[in-house]
Amino acid sequence: MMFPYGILAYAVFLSIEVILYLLPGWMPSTVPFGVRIPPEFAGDPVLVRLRHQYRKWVVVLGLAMGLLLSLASRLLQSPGSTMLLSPFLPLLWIILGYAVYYATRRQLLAIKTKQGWYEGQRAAAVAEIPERADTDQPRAGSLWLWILPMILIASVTLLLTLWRYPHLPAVLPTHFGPGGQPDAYARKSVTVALNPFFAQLGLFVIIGLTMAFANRMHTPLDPAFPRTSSVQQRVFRRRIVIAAGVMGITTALSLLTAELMVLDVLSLQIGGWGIVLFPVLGLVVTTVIVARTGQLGSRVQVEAAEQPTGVVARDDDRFWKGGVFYYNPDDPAFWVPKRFGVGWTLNFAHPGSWVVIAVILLAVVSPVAVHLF
Amino acid sequence: MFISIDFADDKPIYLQIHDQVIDAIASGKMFSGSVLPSSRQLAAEFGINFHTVNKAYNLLREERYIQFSRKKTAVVSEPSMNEALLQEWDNRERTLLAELVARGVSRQDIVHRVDRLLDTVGLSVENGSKGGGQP
Repeated sequence: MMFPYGILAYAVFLSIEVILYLLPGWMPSTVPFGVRIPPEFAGDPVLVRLRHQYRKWVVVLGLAMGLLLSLASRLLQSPGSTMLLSPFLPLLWIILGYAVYYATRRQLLAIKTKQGWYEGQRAAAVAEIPERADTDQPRAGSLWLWILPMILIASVTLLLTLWRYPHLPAVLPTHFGPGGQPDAYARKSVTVALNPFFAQLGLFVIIGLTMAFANRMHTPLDPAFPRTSSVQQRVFRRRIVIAAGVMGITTALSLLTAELMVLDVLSLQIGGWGIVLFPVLGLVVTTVIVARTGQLGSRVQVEAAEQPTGVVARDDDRFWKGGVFYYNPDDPAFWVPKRFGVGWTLNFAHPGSWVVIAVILLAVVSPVAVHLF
Repeated sequence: MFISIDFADDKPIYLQIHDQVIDAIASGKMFSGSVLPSSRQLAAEFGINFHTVNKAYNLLREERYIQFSRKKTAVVSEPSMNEALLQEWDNRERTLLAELVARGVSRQDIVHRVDRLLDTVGLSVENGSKGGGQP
């Protein structure tokens, strides 16, 4: 029988492979493989060939990693080995996937330059000014739609804990191992008993910030199709809010299950499944939402087809170092849409980006440092 | 509404922005009280230096099309006209008309042209004061 935590690890591995495979289809047609091209080349046979080639290598990579995974777990002979490998294997997988992207991008860049795809193009930029100040921001109500259930789940967690607290044993499990059995304990205290609840509160801050941030994120429109890209980006922002909400609620439910295990209301067997299945469900739903939306809403069908305006976005390939890191000191934008991926990334030439990196590093390093000293 | 800038155009970018804001006010897409995005936000959407947008906004303010509110937001002003502005406009328009006259374009053609151009600014849509046009 497969242990629930093993399933979570496999779900993560599978989603990496699926996302790597589908990603080229999620990108706007004028930025295939991170290369800016004029709309008239978007259907060029060369792109079809490159996409086939990219996908072939992603499949080869997936098979190789799957083989490595099963070999490693057989060698280690323990149910937790997949979990043990989980931080390293996905990282290696993503890095190798990036290498496939990088090679494909290099080829496309060479073809574009050699055949002069951008020669004689008229470069322009378009911005939209909302006619009423708030027209394209979803109503605040749509954020509460997601935040209220999270508050409800957290309240249930808190109340159940306080209700059960007097009946709890003197020692509480604080961590559950890969097999689902508790492997760390602490003396009974309100803080220990409420651990999952505190984790929920931290989660809500992150999810709330993500939703508020995605909601007001305005990024450049495609000057070749200003109307279409404006509608698509609006849908994109809304769907990212939904995806963040789904992630928030499923993770909060997973933490509620953990609390029920601490309180000994749920058996370890059932609880173990609950902890895992909720995030897996969240992962699947989020991936489906993203797959149907595409980066900046590129997969969203806009009813009235728009004729290309005849102008194109500026060729900004040279600012994308290695095809993933944006460095453009002349661009005042702090956040820019990812070139090969879904969501936003930093303009590393912007001084503010170093603050963000410092905060992230601090958030990662400080718990480790506290643990060590 | 969309504002577009053309990097290949000889007209400086700040003037392109400036002209399109005036056009938007003329066509009724923007009116007194309409809020413009901050210069940083607009610059980020265009991917250009925010000083360029500031230059456009400052020029628009000097010409009284917009004003800055307490929170430094650019807001479209009440339409205003005075004798000095009219005089200055007459001078510019006179040169433009002289260009056509000097090239031998007939008075009737010029009037017709100006009339048609006025239509494109959307003035006729707003008030029914003109219809068939003066012969």
